[in-house]
Amino acid sequence: MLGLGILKGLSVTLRHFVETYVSDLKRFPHRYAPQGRARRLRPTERGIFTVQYPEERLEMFPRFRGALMQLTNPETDIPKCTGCGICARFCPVGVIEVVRAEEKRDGQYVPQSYSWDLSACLFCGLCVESCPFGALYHTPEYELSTYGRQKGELIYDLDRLLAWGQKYAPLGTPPVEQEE
Amino acid sequence: MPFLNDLFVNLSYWIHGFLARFLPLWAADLIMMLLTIACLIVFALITIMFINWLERKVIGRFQDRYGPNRVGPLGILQFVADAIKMFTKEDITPANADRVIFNLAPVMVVVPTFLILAVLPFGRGMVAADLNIGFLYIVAISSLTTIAILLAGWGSRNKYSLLGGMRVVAQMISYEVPMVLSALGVIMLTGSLSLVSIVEGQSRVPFILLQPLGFLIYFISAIAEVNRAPFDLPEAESEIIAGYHTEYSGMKYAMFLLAEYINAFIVAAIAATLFLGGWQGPSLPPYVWFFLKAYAIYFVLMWLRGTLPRLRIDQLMGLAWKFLVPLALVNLLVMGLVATLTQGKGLFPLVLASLVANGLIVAAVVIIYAFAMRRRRQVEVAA
Repeated sequence: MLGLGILKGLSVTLRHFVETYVSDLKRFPHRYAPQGRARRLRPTERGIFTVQYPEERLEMFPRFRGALMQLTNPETDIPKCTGCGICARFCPVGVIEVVRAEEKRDGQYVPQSYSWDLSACLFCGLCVESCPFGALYHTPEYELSTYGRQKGELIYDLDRLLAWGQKYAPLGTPPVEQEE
Repeated sequence: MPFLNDLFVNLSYWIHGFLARFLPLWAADLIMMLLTIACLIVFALITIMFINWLERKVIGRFQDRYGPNRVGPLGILQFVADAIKMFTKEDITPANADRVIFNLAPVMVVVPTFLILAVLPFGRGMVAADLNIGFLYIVAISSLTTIAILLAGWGSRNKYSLLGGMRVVAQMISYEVPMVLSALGVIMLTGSLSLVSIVEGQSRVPFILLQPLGFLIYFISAIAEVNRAPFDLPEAESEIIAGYHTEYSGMKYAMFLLAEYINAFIVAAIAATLFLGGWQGPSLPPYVWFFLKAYAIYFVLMWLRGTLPRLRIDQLMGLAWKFLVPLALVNLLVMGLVATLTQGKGLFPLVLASLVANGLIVAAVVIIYAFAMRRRRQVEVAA
């Protein structure tokens, strides 16, 4: 009534204005979150909620469907993938190509070559769902752009996928399986 | 300190004296005039850059974010980046537009804003032209903006532009009435329209203490006068895209933006001059005081913009004609009465009587409002 609501609204926005400076001060001498690891603010928390992207990054949740990775069996140190090609069959856009190697290694089939074409992938996750050997998983990796596509930067071969597997699931279990 | 206090005035005397040594007096005067004009225009351009940055930062803070922080330290060069983008954009004139009017409007909208700067007293003696009709001049010149914006709306030949232009005319003409009526109280106290005399009249007490209600009315109508939120109906993007500047791009659009921001600053500066004592203030140099006060008021403008949602057009007109105009008239009458009754009785009775009178007006408004609400409820119950 009679502008009291306006005053109330003004006090609310002023509180937000001041709280952003308080959250700045808490961080003081640094401007960004430590090690660039930002955290999503809960609704009850106050202060600046935006993430200053190149300097700060949010931790991705375990089920995030980022780039693919190939896991390695930590006991035998050979890829879990057997080159069966089920992922390639399931892929709706056909961006996965698998060739199975002629000989087995340690009594297990292994892929001779494996390639994932990022340029057409739609990150549906059907390949991961379909893999019967638990070899294929998503990484939380999302910064996948390149400066060109002529030199095959967007085609990921087995080595690159295995390297990500080593990085995100060194013990053979990806974060998404550790959830429960 | 005396050196700093009159820095700019002494500088201008010094330059004038220097020129007069080897030029005839009229030539020196002419050059000084041109220099003053150049200074004012440069000042306006710097102000818009600073205000644009400040506003985006402050609004960002109100919305729990940083605002621009990528270009330059703290994002202060953001305006430069924006200006480069504006300069290099394609300059489009719609095929069906009235070419002359369409291209004239962006120029016409900027000219009045620069003209108003001429009478603003930035400090002691720091005024380009001390007109004895200063406030009348401001009222007259700022009305010219209305025509320019209507030209833009009409010349674009676009229904949204025309709607925006029409809204500007309705809004600016309506809100000019309470704005002038509330400023009349100040003019009544000083007995002069000159902004310099108005500032000098506040050497003992700023007029906001004598006329808080007048200040409030002035402030509300001034926000509406420069089409800022919550009165930004002429460019309400959710209703009419961008209003009168829908069809403008590149530099012409930048002109509207420029005029808008400078107008907002000028309104804050005039409010500081009329009610907060202009450059009057202890210990700091006068021009510093002036800018402190103007920016304090500008902060409130930004604060309101970050808080309030937009009014509906009928609420907007209702607020002007049904509330502000009668209130301003009552305020003017009562303030005149108070000023006459306490004439020659010193400062303290005047302040006391003014505050009491303002309190009485507010109380009367509250009582009338409560009564009206009760009547309305009774009618609703009966129906």
